[in-house]
Amino acid sequence: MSEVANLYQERLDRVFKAFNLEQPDRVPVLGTYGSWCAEFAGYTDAETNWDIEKGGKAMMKVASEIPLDMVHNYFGRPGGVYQALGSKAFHYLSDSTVAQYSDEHAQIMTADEYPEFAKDPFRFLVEKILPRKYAELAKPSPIKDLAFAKGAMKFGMFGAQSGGIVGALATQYGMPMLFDGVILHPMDWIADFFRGIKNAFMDIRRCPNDFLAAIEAFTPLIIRLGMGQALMTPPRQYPKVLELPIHLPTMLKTSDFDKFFWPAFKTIMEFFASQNINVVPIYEGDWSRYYDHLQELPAKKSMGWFEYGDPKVIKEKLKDIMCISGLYPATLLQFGTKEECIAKAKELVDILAPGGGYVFGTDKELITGKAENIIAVNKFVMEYGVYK
Amino acid sequence: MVDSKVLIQAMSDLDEDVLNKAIDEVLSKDDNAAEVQEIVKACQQGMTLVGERYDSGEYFIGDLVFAGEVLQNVMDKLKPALGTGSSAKGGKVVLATVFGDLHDIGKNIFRSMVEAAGFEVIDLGINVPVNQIVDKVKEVNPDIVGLSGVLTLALDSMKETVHGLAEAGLRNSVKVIIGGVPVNEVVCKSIGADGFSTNAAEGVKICQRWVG
Repeated sequence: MSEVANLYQERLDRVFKAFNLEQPDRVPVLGTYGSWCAEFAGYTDAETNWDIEKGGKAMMKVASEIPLDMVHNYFGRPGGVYQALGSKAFHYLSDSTVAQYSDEHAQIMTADEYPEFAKDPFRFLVEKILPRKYAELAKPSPIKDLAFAKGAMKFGMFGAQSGGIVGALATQYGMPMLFDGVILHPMDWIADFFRGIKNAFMDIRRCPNDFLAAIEAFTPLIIRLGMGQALMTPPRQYPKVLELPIHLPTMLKTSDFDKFFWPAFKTIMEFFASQNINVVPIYEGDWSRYYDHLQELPAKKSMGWFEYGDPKVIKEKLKDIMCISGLYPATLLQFGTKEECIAKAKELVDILAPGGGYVFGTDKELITGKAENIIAVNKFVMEYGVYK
Repeated sequence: MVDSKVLIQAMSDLDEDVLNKAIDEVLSKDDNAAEVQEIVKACQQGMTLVGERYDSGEYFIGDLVFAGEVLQNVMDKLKPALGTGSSAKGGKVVLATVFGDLHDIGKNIFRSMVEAAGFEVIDLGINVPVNQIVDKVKEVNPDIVGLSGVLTLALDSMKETVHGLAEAGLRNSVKVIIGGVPVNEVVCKSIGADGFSTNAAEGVKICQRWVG
């Protein structure tokens, strides 16, 4: 094998050993730089989203200049697809900010529509949600059909281009990419895209049974979506990996979590485990109330990406269940000195590395941060985190 | 006559039905000014209890958002029957989600809680440029400026806003509190704010200390 191919294999082995709760040669370092890569390469987030070529170049710069074992995602949002469909959901507030989703534009379904949604979610999505979400799809035929075809074509092109980026990262820099797809919990999906987050909180109080029925009906569709994405990438030696960002649960009281979040989440996690597909839930917020719940998940089939929490407690409670990542404050890379950044990395490695099952990563996807801090921290983890 | 205890409890339990029934009953009467005031007071006290239940780990953000909605509905219903300048003001807050950020859930929770605590709030909304905040501070002379944001990018905007206030010579006449997921002590220092919180109820307490 060539040197690059060796490097690629070595990095994959390292990360998946950790996934399997074993001890690799050293602590693997995960780059969460899908958005930050734009800043690093001197582009804006918008530029990389509209011009996939630039997005690819930015990722290549990350792969060649930042000490890393794996990048989590190429976080390009295909601007052309959204434009073709007439979406108003994403906003660029200025050249310097990232695309954002507004809660106001997420409110495209009314609470009294839950029963119809729950009866046939797929039909409801196609016939009701899509035309509301995408202005072009609300127009009469053949305009809507043309818009759909254009959107599909743009999406296909985006798929081919991002596939090319993944290939280039692998063959030129030996850099693997972690995620093969992304899914959301049905509750987060409904809140983020159909009802708005604020309305979801109202629904939990005002029409809890309808809300729950919609979540239950939506779950099989989400599993299908995840499988579709996993099967789209070629077969390979290690499990495919899905990303699962989680938004609402830590904002709920525990009884609501038990009712609306946990059953569907467990179903989803158990299903993908049964298919030998690994899932990386991004546990946003403070999950300390729920560590006992997380002990019920299938062992060695997920990597918990934690935003917050006491690393000692997380390690203690979950070390036999899941690989642990995250917890490193992204804001420190933005505001801290090099010494402060390294000290924090040492603290986390000291607690989380022993015994394996740990991948070094930031608490959230990086949007902004000083390159010199990032390089210093990653280098430190690679040298200090060697298993003897 | 309204039963304050029942209303305080209903607000604290986020029981809209009980509140609405009582309000409708009072509004149907002719000479209701005193009772309307009584309801407002009870809801404010109920909101304090909501904050306490949040602090104790019984309620979470979803409950606070709902509490804000319930309180807003109550006030909307009572507004026509409320005289002007009827409730005592605790202080004045200019509030904004800073430039570059659209997230306003945290800001809105803080607004409803700080309003319930008796503050007058001028909410400038989302994605608010520095000069708009500075101009508003000049205009209304608040006690406190509250800056909110979720993205780490918002931290830069917060810093620019504090800088903008200083350049306009206003920094010493107001306290600045920052709130949102990414704020912490390091960030607060670097931005030059007077206080920070990721917890709306605690944020209200900080504001009360400042004007107290």
